[in-house]
Amino acid sequence: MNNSKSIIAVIARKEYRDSIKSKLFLTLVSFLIVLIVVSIVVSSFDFKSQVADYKSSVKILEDMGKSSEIPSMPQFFPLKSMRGVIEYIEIIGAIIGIILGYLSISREKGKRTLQLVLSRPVRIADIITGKFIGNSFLVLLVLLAGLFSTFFIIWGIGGLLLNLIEVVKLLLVFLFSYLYIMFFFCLSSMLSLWFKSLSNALIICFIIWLIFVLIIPQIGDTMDPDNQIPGGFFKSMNIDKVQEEEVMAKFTTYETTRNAIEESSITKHYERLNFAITGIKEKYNGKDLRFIFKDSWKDLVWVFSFLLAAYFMEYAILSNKRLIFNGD
Amino acid sequence: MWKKIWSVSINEFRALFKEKTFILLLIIFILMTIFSTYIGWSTKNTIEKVYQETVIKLKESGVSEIPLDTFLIAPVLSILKNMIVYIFLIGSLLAIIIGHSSFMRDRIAGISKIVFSRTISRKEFIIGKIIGIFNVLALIISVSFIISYVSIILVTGHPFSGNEIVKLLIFYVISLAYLIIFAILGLFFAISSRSESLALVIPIIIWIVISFVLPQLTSALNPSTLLNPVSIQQAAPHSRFFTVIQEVIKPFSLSENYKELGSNLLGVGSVDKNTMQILIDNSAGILLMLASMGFLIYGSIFSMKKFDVCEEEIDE
Repeated sequence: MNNSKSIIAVIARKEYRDSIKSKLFLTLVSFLIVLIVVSIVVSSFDFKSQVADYKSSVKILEDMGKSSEIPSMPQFFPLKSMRGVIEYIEIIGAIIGIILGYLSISREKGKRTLQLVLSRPVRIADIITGKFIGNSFLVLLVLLAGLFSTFFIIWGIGGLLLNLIEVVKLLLVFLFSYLYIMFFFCLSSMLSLWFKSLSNALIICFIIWLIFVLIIPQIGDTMDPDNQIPGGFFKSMNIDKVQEEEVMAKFTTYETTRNAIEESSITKHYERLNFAITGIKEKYNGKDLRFIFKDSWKDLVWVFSFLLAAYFMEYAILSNKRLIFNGD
Repeated sequence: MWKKIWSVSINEFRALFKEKTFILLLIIFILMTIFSTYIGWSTKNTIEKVYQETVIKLKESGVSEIPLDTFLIAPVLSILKNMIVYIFLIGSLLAIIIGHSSFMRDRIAGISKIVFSRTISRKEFIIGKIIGIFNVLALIISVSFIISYVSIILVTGHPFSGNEIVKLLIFYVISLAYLIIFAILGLFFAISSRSESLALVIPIIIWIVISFVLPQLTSALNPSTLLNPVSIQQAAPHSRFFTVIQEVIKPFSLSENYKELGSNLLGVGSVDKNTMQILIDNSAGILLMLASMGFLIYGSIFSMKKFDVCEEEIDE
């Protein structure tokens, strides 16, 4: 057991060192951090623009002597400004996972070291776990940089210091982001092991990424009746939430199909989970974690299930030594 | 000269069709086109019914001023609105992969080392490649055009007017130009990059900047909002920050110019504009696309001239 632990530690350390030296990885990480910064800065300016619009409306109403009709001031919920961050992690975070998984296997295939390692008394589970842990450190490091950037930009530009509950929620967002990125890591490693051509493995992985991250969410989103008019169909019809639900109750088959399409993508589960935690989904804004997880635990289970499925498929492929020894 | 270019382009065309990955991409593109019509039609029917139900609900609660049904007057081509998103997000990414594999295939196989021992110049070789890619993309776009045309007639039973056919045709020609830009971008990095994976990832990063980052800077739209052709039309915030950025960046934002042109041609937002007026209004966007294409073709020829034919094995 101790021997197994030390093998895992050696593989993990090697993975970490190899990946952190990769130009490709560093390029992507820098890009993700820049996007996180851009996204929060844009959200902060967007909010400032809303406040400015509000103030000018108030002035107009006051000048017209309609002070009683002044609407309430828009409130800044710092975690809601993370929408862009979450969506960029959905896109770029997944690509980082894919590249890490690809590099992890392409290095071994290029130098034929995988065959060498497999000819020694090393368990397949140790190789997979070692690679997983080594790359986990990297992903966590990247996410930690993202977390600090988010925290300090909200503080610096938004002028708001997050309270303890908000910090916990922020940590949870980045923890779930880790699970999401590692799913793509396992998927990419698995395909790189499986395919004879690494280039084809990378392209197939990008096609799967395209389906999960862009195509499925796009279909679900454009089928939503409320999304048929900018600003929302039901809002344009001036009907309240209760009436909206009564109307939509007559379209259950359509809505069930739409929901089923969305649920087939890990990205949508990741998004729903984090939109609930950050309060981007209005229903959960300002609510405690117990209330949020009462509804969102299923999404968490789905994200875990996708990750476990990819992990065990990678294990199954590596177990097929004939594929590995004849695969390059 | 043209004979050599033509034989390179024919070879490129055949090679792409032999690749399993390419066939997979082609299937994705055809499915996208079929889905686009089906989803557009199914959503249009559903929203019509949702509108009717909402009107009943409003009348029950005593509301007399009912908002107009804008879906009923929507131009028939607007059913294809999803195609704009599929082309600017998915099609362009697939085009990068086509451009990438076009030259990377030769680099890995070592063809790029020996091909110039024959009487073909680097310029002829790369122009031949670009024409080959153009032919492949033109074929895909033509298939897509035919599927869109037939599927709309099938699902709506509405025969196309001459004006609608022209609009649909122009939309697909513009889409072809948009795809070619990204295919040449993939080709450019396949020639100039020293590593196989960097050659694919750098154009993908540029694609992300063009497709998501620039629109977010100019209109504060989050990436997922850009997946819905209707949400794209949302008004941008009015602050000085966004106004300045919009003035500076938007004229150079390829994706936004393409989306605007595509939306106008397909009549997204229930507005049926005159074709000539659309082309005049969006002439700056069309010029931007042509300029980008010219710049990338020149860049590819230049990097081909600098390409080291004696390079050792390409890095993973």
